[in-house]
Amino acid sequence: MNNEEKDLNQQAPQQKNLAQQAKPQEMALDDARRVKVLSPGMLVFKRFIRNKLAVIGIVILVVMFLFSFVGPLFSPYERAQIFTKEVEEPGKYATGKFNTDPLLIGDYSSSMKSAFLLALGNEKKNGFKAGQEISFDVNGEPYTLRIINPRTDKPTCGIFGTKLIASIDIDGNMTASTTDVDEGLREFLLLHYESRSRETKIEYKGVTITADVAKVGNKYYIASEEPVALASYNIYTATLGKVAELQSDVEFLHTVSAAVMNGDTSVSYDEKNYTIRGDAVNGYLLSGPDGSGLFNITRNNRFGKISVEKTDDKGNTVNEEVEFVSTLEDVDAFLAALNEAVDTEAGSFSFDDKEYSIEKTETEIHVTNSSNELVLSVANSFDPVKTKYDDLKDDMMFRFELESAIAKNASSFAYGGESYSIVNDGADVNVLNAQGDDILMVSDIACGADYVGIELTVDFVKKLQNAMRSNEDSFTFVDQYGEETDAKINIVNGNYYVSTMQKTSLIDSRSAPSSEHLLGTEVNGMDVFTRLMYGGRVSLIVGFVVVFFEIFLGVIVGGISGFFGGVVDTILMRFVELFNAIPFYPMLIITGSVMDAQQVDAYSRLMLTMAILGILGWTGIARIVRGQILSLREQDFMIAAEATGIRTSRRIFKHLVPNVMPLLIVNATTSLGGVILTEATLGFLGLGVKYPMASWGAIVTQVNDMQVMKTAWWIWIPTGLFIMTTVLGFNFVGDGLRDAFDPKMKR
Amino acid sequence: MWKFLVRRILLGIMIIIFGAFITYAVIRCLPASYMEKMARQLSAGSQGRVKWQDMLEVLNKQYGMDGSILSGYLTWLGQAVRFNFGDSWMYMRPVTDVFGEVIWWSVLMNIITIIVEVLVSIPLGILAARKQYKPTDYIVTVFALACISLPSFYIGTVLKYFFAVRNQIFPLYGLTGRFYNDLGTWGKIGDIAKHLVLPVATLSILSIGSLMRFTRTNMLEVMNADFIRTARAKGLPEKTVINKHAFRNTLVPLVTVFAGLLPSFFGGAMITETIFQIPGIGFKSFQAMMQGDIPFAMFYTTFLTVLTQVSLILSDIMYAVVDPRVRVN
Repeated sequence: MNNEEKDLNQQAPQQKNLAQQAKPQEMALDDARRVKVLSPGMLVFKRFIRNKLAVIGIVILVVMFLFSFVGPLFSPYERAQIFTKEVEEPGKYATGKFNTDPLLIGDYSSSMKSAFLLALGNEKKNGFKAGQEISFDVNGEPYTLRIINPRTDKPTCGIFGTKLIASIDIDGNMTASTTDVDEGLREFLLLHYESRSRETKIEYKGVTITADVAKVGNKYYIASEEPVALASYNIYTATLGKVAELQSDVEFLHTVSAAVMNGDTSVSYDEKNYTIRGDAVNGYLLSGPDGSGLFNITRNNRFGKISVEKTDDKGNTVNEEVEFVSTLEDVDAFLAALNEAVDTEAGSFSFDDKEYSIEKTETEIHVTNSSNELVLSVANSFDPVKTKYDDLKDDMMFRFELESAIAKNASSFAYGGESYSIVNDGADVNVLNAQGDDILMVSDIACGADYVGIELTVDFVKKLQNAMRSNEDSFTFVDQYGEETDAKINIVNGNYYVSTMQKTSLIDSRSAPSSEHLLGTEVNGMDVFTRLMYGGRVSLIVGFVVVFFEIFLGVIVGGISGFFGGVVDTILMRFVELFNAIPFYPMLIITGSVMDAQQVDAYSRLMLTMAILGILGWTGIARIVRGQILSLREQDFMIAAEATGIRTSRRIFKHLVPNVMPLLIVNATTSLGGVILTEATLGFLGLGVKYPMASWGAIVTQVNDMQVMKTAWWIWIPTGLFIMTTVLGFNFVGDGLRDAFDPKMKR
Repeated sequence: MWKFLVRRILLGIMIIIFGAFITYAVIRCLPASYMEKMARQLSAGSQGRVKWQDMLEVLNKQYGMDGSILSGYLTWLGQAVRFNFGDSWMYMRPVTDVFGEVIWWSVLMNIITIIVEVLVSIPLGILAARKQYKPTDYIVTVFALACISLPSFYIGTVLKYFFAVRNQIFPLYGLTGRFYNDLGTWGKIGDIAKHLVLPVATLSILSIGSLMRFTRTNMLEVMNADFIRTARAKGLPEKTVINKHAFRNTLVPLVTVFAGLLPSFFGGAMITETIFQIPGIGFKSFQAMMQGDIPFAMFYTTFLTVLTQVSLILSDIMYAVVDPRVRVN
């Protein structure tokens, strides 16, 4: 009718004429023009279109197909793109603690430490006085404990042992326990023997020691007191002031870094000149204005990913993305080539027949390959040069001097020919060398980083100590990368836990629907909406392939069986019954677990599942086709066809098959819905499509996780609705087709 | 008729035998590690008195796993005809014991489901047929189609979500509550009934659709028959026409449908039982099959095949009972 109207509109004038002519002329009842002749296909179509539900079904299916097959083209996301989110959350950084255990340094054994602690504990209740002596013995040997600094409950004590130096008898004969008794000692002893003076201090081996003289019988024994160990509650932190300051000075580090990258040999900062010596391979040394080494600068190479051509088993060349280092035999050679290029200020270099270009930023070097992928980034790392002061803090005698000086509230002391000054703010003590550099920090607060990779800066330690003493719960410090960082303190059982806000990247799992993700994200952080599109593809394709397979098998077996009848029919139908008898889901579960056990990959698994669904489902079609053909075979038109003597194949394909088609189409449409349901159920049982492939069934499976069911409705409710709507669409269309093909049913 | 029946039964037996063979052949594709795992478990159960290698040999012999598929199958078949289906590997007991224990829960659930299904779908089907092409018909038809279009696990999960998670009206899963043993007889019945509401609702929603459509189609066919026109012409009230003349005649095809329901009576509802963790045959066999429990899987699939064959024979007989014309051929 539409075509007719179009034709008429095109020939509008003619039509008018016709109408004018026709009007007066009365049409006969049996006039052929009165009867609109429609082809059988058109008839079916018109009946179909009149069915509201069928039209709704068609609309649903068109929308679903567009969604699944065209939708992904417009989706901003990939099929299996995993989304991550940056989360800033407090993370452990360091722990601080007021030290409550005396730390010993020197030559001590564990039994001595126990005896010492016991002796100290026994005297504790009486309080300590400076210079107070407590005797104790370890395994029978006498030791003396002398209080150097009587702080209320954290005294600093020296532990001294006695050592027999020499004995002298009435005759003046001296026996010394050490062979190198010097003149000073002999004189001292003789003096003592002759004049019985009370003088007990001698200069012995460069150290002033106090010697005890005891007279036993006719002999004088001279024993000296020797420092064995020092026990203190203090922690000694080396802080070479300038380095510490410079290390947290970001601008300085950048300036030096840039100079190193440029290959400069000197750099000036804050009106001071620093020199750089060395090369890229062995590292650089940065010296201060006074010529002392400040930092060892090494090149820190971070290798990126690179795509490398490889030859696979079949001899094909494939591009594979691999870690850069693992693919290059000779990393050193590569770095050498790079360094040479950097030194000669070339913009690019070639290595192993490949071109790499170098891009220098202020502080970093980026190396990219020909396809512009970042292969390597080079940055400088700074390590403070080890100074003599680092060893000094572990020197017992130095500590003796330092602790004595602190106890006496002295502002300076001398050790090893150098003088040191002390800045004491009542709690923490800073030790400066003769040049006025801050070299040591003494405090009873111990602190340590919580993770490998965190280096506590001097600034951090100082700020933490201040905060701990003033009971503040937060502070700001400069961290090892020169960044201002906020820290929070949490006190648990006397431990001061310091946490900072740390950025971590998490998989954006189960996030609620938003403008970015219309239906949120699923358990693995993939966009549900996008996965629904790709899942629809698989679900629909599975449906079509399986139904096509079913029809293919069903028509052949059913057709042969119905047309030839007799023995062929009997045999084939027993075959059909046999397949029909195989339990559907148990079989799928068993084959599913077989595939699991054989570790079939995702793609082959999909293929095999489709094949199994087809094999288990074709019998229904075969029966229908056979039944239809059996009844058609007996009808008059087939007898007539046989009588005309046309070929068997022609009889089948020209006369029988077209008559089976309507039934097949109706069946195929409804089975499509059924297969989609089965696929979804298989997915639910965990036997369906595997990652990274998606299918509606595979998406909805996540509802098995109780957490998803309770909290993440956006993953499973829309998916289920998609399945339901699509199957409903197929059922509407199938019903509509059935009514359209067989109007008798539509009374 | 008798000749036909005997032939049909013999054919059924053949189908059962060959069907079981196909299942067996597929199961044999499972890697041997399942047997090994089993042997190790059994060996551990005997406190090391039996070495697992010896156990493996015994098991292989017992299940005919050492020979070809055919000889293994014959071993199994030889035992199966004596109703010896072996011990379930998962439940560590004879398969038939486990079966006898759990089958009745499935049957109970299915009987309730079928009652609900009949009570809902037959009246609705008749209603739709009477009001053909009226809004009522459309609503009923769309409802029926929607029921068919839903995956069973989805209905179950949605019901669980709304009635057990968001509003805790019904229990989430299981057959009995925590305090089941402290309850009296009526309390126990009430507890189980409460646990069965959601699974039965799921199964009913699933099956209502097809029965409703079937009733509607048959009713429409009968309503167009000559004897209805006669009844109307006689001046009978519409109520009598529908209830007595039309409805009774729609029962004829329905009877054959019920004969076909036998497998679902005893076969259990695997997915629904799994979702609600009802300890019926479906749930137990699902677990067993997922674990590669060969004796249980073989038993269950064979049991289902037998059920299908019996139901086919039954519906053949029912056809003959309700329709005398069939008896002649």
